[in-house]
Amino acid sequence: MLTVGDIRGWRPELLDGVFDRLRRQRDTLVSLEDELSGVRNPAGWAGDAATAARLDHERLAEELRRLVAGVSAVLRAVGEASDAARAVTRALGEAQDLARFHGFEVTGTGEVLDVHPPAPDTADYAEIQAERVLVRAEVADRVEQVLRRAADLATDLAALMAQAAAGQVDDGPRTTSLAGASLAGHLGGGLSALGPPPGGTAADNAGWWASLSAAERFTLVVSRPELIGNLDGIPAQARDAANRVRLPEERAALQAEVTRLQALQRPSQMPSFEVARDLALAHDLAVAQHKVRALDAIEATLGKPGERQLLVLDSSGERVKAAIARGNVDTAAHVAVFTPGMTSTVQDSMVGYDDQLDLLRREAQNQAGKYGDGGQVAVVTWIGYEAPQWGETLDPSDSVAGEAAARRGAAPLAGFLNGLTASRSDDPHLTALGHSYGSTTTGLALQQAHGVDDVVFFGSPGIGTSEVADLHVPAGSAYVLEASWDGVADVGRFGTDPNQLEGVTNLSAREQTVDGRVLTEVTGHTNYLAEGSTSQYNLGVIVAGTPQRAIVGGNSGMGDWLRKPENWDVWGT
Amino acid sequence: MGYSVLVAALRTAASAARAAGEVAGAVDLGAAVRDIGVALPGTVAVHAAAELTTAWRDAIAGWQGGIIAHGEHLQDSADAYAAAEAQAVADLRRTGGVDVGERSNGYSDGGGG
Repeated sequence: MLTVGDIRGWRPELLDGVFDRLRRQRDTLVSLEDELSGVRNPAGWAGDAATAARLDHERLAEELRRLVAGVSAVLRAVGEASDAARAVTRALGEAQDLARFHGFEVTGTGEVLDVHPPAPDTADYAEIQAERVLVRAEVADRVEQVLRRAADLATDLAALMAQAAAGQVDDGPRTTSLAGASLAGHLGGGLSALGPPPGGTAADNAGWWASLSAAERFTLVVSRPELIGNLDGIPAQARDAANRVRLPEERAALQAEVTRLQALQRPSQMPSFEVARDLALAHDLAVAQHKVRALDAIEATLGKPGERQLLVLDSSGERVKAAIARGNVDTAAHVAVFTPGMTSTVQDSMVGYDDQLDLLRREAQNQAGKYGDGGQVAVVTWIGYEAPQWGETLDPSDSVAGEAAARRGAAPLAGFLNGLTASRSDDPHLTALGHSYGSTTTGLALQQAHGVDDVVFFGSPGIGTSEVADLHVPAGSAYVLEASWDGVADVGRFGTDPNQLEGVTNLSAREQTVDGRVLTEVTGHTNYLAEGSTSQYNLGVIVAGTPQRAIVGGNSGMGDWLRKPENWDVWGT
Repeated sequence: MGYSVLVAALRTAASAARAAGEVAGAVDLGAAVRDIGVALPGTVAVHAAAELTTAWRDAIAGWQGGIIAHGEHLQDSADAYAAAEAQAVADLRRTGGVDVGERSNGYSDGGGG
């Protein structure tokens, strides 16, 4: 069984030498074409001896073609194995570096040993240890994927060599030349691209991706984009490229579905005796048409000026799910992921939220530039779940009154957040933003996800817990925004009203003046992202990693007032 | 075309076969792939590379032997045709006939091969 110790002994550069030598030998064999032609029977030579000579020549020619095909196949495989082996050793090196940086050591058998644990009296000991547990798991995942890829490439190469040794590499169905046999062998000689680990975590996926060569990655993005586009732990650039490859395919499939369903529709003047069938058909048609409009919205968003990345594209289910980044998620120092709430859909909400998030990005960029680390900011509008709609209020599985839809959304959101950190070798400052029902989804996701540095809940009906400690964010990094006259923010439907939670910092949404700049108050449930508002400013400074510039001070609504027992005697109770 | 043309063509082919054998003899596929096992220790590729080294050496040696033998057969055929023709010419001269090569456009086995 292949071990880490074995891979440490790998010398991919030797494969380059093999490649060069083998290519020269292959070229020499192919150059025998002239001699082989010259050995053919002279024209007009007949009889038993001539027949025997002809058959002998044909056998020798076929043997040589087979040999050349085998050499070309192995040649190509060795070339690809060289790149793949380099990727494997590089990925192992990265995993070992990550381990070393956090005081771990990867043994030759692949174990991750804790060789430099922090002293118990170290400041923030518990927090550091909690992070080290995650890092250790990530290193183990990465090593596992390195071994998986290494074994796969060696097995692939070995299988091809065995095929060549047995003279079983196909030299082409009608090939009569050595050059043709060489081409046929080359075409049959590629190593297979190993797919992502089934059911893998973001760290598994990141480890797998790291173990692939550039050529393998490119092949996967272009030929298997459905495997890459939504895979957490893969760099945003690759996800974006894969999803853009998929867009026209998705559109064609949905258009075909619309056409098919339209053809099944009964002309309106015809009497119907199958009401249920007609209703189901109308529903399916509306769903397909909405999905086409969602793709329109995605393309319109991607077509705006400025860099955007399509990080999620999923047309399964009742509605299209998508996530679009403004900025470069792979390189930004500050990344924010915004999850909207009830009634939000890709077709109706993506373009508008993307506009608002772009304004928020500018505010955060301004703050980071003037008062922070000056790092680039990227923002993501994540509509990767089917948020409750008005028409679903009576359906317990989808209703805004229930937590089911938020729970269904929390898992992919957690994976997405985990993926953002796992896909990068550095550690970006990551902020989760949740509005309305999206704050519930975000709160539930943060009970699963790791790596989020700050979270802001705004207009929140509850975050799926009444304990801030349930959220996997550093202490003191959870914030709440509640505007005046935001009734939703007072209901406390999914856990205690977050602005009443201990350990949460309340941010102001009232009019404020900062550095001579007047920031406006927002009221109600839907204006938190308004340009030039105090709430947008506060979101911006948190995203920028400059929380010291936040304007604190909550707005207590009627719900908050009523929740305090000391106020109950106003009615003489 | 007479026997002499066939003989010349067979000798040319035999020469090409010898040349092919010499070129093949210089090819060492086994040595080319030997380092695969060194590059990827601990993997199944080590054993496969060793097997391939042997298989390709045998294959090249076998092919080289085959093409040289083929060339020798062609050479033998050419020699046999040449000998038969020389014999026929001598016989005809003895009897005052004409050269058989001037009567025929095709060749049948005169020997060898």
